[in-house]
Amino acid sequence: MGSAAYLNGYLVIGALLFALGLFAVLTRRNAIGVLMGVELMLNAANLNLVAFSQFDPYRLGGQVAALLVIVLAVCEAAVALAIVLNLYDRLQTVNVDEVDNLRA
Amino acid sequence: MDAHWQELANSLPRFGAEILLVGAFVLLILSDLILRRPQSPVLPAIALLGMLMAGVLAAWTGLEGDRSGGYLFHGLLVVDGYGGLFKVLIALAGALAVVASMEYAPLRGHRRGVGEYYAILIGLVFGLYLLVGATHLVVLYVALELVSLSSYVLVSYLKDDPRSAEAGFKYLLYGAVSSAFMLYGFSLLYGLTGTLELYALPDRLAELDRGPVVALAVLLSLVGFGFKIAAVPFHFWAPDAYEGAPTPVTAFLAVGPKAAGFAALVRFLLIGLGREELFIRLEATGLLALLAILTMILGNLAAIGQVNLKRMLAYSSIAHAGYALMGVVVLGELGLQALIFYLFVYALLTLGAFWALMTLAELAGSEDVRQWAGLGWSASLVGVAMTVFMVGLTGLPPTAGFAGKLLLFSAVWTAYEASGDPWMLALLLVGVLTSVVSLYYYLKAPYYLFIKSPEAPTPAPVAVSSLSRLALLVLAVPSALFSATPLFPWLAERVLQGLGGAAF
Repeated sequence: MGSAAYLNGYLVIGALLFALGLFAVLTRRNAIGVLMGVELMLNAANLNLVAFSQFDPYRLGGQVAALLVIVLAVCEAAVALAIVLNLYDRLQTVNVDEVDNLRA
Repeated sequence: MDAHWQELANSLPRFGAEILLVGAFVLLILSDLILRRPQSPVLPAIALLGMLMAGVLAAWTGLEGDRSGGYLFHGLLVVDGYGGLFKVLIALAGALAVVASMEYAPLRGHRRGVGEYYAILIGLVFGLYLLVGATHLVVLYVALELVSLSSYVLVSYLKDDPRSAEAGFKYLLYGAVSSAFMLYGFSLLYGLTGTLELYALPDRLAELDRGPVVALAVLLSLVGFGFKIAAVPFHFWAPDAYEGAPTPVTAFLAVGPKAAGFAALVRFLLIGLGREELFIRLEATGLLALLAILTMILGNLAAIGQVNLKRMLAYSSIAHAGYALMGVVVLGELGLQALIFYLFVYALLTLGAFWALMTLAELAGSEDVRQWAGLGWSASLVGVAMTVFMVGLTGLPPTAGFAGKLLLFSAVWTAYEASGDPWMLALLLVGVLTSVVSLYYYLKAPYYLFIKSPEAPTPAPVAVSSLSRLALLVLAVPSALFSATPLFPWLAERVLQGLGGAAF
């Protein structure tokens, strides 16, 4: 059975994942790379949710939440890739620094 | 098991507005498939009817929820009068967006048709309805994602327009990152309290020692709301997304998600973070006041330099998020009333301004206000309406904007007199000063329309479609005269007293 002793390990890994994802978002110039960073951040939250779930009196709250988040992440990836593909068709680039034609 | 069925059977009728929206969504997709006519007038008709009926149903279920307890599906959602008001506002804005879309040339000529467009618009409204009613962190997150995903698609719907593509892309990047922040915050809240139910949070939070983790969890959770209402420092997406999106979509984004974001933010603060004690313990008041001040200053200052009117209105909508945040800082009955009334006024003026912008941009062939010189004389109704909306957004009497700002500022003043909190005084000062600043850029449009003489000889009067004339009249007359009517003091004193929600 899960016990509190293991919790810290999950949380540290979750926090690391979140930080790595944020690092990717901030440093990647390729839009796909940025989106992968976002996926890491979402999965960090998922790890937290599942790890905390063992302390939930109903047990399932966090796990169900994580399942829903996984589905939403897939939807988001589908919409995001469509938008990025369309952007590439119009501007021939997916570099976030070069996409800057609207007045800043 | 029986109890579950009972709960489901009890909840479904009060979930009617949302079910109706889902029905309209499916009907739109099916009729788009069956009709095979990408510009069929049946499509906007279904969307329009769906929005209006959802608005009526939401008002009814809201009142019903106030009477007989509004929690649905074991407390996942709540329907109450407070939420009903927001839902009516969203439905009206959505209906107007549908009508505006019928007028908007790039959509009329869109080669892929408009069936999916209206379906996604309905989906967006469904997401907003969930957002307004959510009392569970997971529902809140799902609703926010539904709103976001629909918005991304709508913003980049004009596939052949590189500006639309870029706008959707930028919106997507900022939105995805801020929703990830929010979800991480929610996961920490869950870990701290062991519950995802909003109304169970304050008791559990009150047991905890106040520590950096609690503050971090709350701060991260607030990111998502800040993004939806476009408050500084989560506003970066707004100017680009607003400028590149189809104008009816911009108009709806400036009103619908902002109103729903405020509704959800207030619920999160009042239910989730507990009533006054806990709220103050977390020093959220000071933080929100700071955000409001920064939003007002940045939104108004950045708007000054804009010549593209759509982009200027984007910054103006950021500035107005700052004003409305004042109502959230004050909270209590007074602050909430002022906030809700302000959002209604803001919606009226903003929808009108975007409609006038859409018409003028089509006449002049440009959204650049410098190209509009003298256009007010040849399209006088549109010009006058635009002037009304701009003066209204500034907040001068006798427009509706004056009524909204007066109620907000007096709520802040009352709160200052009651508590002596220096934040309130700062809010009031910044609010008044930035309103003066906003006069400069709001009057730019009337200046070019009427006063600046065109380089070319004055063009002959141009034709504006009768639908646009009607819509502008309907929006401009109440905008112009609201504070002068006896309705205003009556509203201010009596009706607003009755608002506030059963759920609080």
